[in-house]
Amino acid sequence: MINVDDLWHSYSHDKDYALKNVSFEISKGEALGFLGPSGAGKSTTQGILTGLLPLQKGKAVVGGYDISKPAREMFNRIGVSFEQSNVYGKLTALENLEFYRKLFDVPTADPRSLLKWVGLEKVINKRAEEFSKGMKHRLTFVRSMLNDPDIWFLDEPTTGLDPAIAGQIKDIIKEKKAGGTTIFLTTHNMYVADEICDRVAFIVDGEIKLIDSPRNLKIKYGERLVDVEFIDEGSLQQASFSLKDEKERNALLDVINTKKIETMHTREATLEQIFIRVTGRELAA
Amino acid sequence: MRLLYSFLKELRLSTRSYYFYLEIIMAIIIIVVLRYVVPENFESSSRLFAYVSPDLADSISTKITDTHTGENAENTLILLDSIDAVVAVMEEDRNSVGLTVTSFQGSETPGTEIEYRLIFQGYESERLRNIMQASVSMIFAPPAFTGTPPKAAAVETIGQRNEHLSDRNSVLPPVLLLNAAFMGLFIIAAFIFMDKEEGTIKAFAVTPSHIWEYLLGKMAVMLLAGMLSGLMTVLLVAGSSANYVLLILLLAVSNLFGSSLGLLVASFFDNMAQAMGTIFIIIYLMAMPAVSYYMPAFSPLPMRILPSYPLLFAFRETLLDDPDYAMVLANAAIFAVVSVILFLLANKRYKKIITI
Repeated sequence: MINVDDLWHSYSHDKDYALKNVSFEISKGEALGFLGPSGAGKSTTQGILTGLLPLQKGKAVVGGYDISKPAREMFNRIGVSFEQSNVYGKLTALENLEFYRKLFDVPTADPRSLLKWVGLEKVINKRAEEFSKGMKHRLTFVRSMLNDPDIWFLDEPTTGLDPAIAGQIKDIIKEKKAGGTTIFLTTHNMYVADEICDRVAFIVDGEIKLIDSPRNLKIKYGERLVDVEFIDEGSLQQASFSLKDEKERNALLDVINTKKIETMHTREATLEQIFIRVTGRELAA
Repeated sequence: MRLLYSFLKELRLSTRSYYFYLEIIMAIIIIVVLRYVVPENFESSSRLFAYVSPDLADSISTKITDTHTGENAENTLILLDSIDAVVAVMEEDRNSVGLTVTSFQGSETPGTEIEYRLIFQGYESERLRNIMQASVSMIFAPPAFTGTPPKAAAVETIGQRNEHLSDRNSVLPPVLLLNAAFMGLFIIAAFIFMDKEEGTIKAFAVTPSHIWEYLLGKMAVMLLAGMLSGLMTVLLVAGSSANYVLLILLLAVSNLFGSSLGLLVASFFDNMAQAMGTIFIIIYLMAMPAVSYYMPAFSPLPMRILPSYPLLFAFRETLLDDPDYAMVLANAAIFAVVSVILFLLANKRYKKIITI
């Protein structure tokens, strides 16, 4: 659904590139997470793919539309949720959605249902300027669903939201993904990427350092240890066993067979730890 | 249809913002001032308060009063009892001149030789003072030409069109120009900056709509406000004497010109604070030809090449009983073309600047 090949971009139109040789593809129904710190090039990539930034160098095709000459019809098939809430403050939540839905040439979702989905059903007639930051963010988010997009661009969809609302948003994204929506998600939140994305791309200083599934990354870069707490001769003991070493695997089996196990956890590397290991940078930077 | 939705959305946004009412409130203030403060025509003649000393010969007193009470007398003469009374009344009536006529102190024949004194307010021009002095001098010492007054006299003008607006109606063209035509320049820029601040332009840009639909929606609201304020002003001030077909046409094109210029200007700035200087300079420049409008003798080339110059005179024509159709229609056509060009340029600019 999305094919990007050798994408370069410079805001100053010189050699100071914000994007360098970015290439990737996203299949139908797949969710790709662009993971990187602020200023890494995530939003620039999304800006080019949504036609908000001109394509300077390289090739990008979104839903079969060449981004070098984006056709307006393309926007009937894509949805864009911005990191910064951008709704009309003087309009109510319902008026905001009612206006935008009329701009599409395809059947659109019922604004009231969408607002209910994100818990805004009680404030549909309240002006957006009176909303909290989180409410505005939810309104911006559901607006991107109006045309039931095939391809969904989500820029930091849960940033700044309280955990309950963020969980709600993630559930909606997962539901849409299960329904076959292709998702391009940019975030610096590894947990969101881990939970939603089939694959993640680590981007730093405009360059993709690595693309793979979170599972593969964890297997490849994780330590594969098992931490066990067990009772031995009446006292609580702790031990870690490497699954790579045969001796330790046998020792773990022995503990399982002969001791009373209190707790047992596999110790996998988080995406953040892998990111730091691969790029030498921190995600929050 | 998207254009209609865009217009309706802009109308809703505008009516919930004070900028929209700015134009209407200004129109109401102008209407009230013109109808209840500004007279239909300003008084062209000033009152002359005079004191004539009682020790003058009767023939002199009679001559002075006769000169200023005739049917064609330019100034109304009001005789008072003392010099102090003249000064006191003049302080009340700032559109008056004072005259005292007394017997010349050094005269060998008291009461037959006079001494006069003209008293001005202080704001009068040197030219007016000289005219008054000459006028009063001629009362006492008329020039001896042929000895008999002319048998016939006529006044002619070289211009073919000499229809005049009343003083009140002549205020309307600059008002229409600034409030109905160019107020949109400022307001549409304000609306663009509000959208930029809220980021809603970006949200619009990722829909199948075209930028021109977004821009035209705003211009349509400006047109509505401009027409409303312009027609309301003319209807309540000039009544039925205006040619409303020409007026509506001219209001429409001048408003489109102003708002398309406003769109283009706003595209070069990020917020109102940055754009304020440029917008004010443009509005002041556009207001400058009002000087030539009120003083036609002062119409230098820099004034005449400003777009507001022909518009002012075209608006004036729409208020006359016998307007110059060709002149108004030519202006309307030219400004319609210029508006389209400015709009296309603005559309190109906005396509370029709407980025993340």
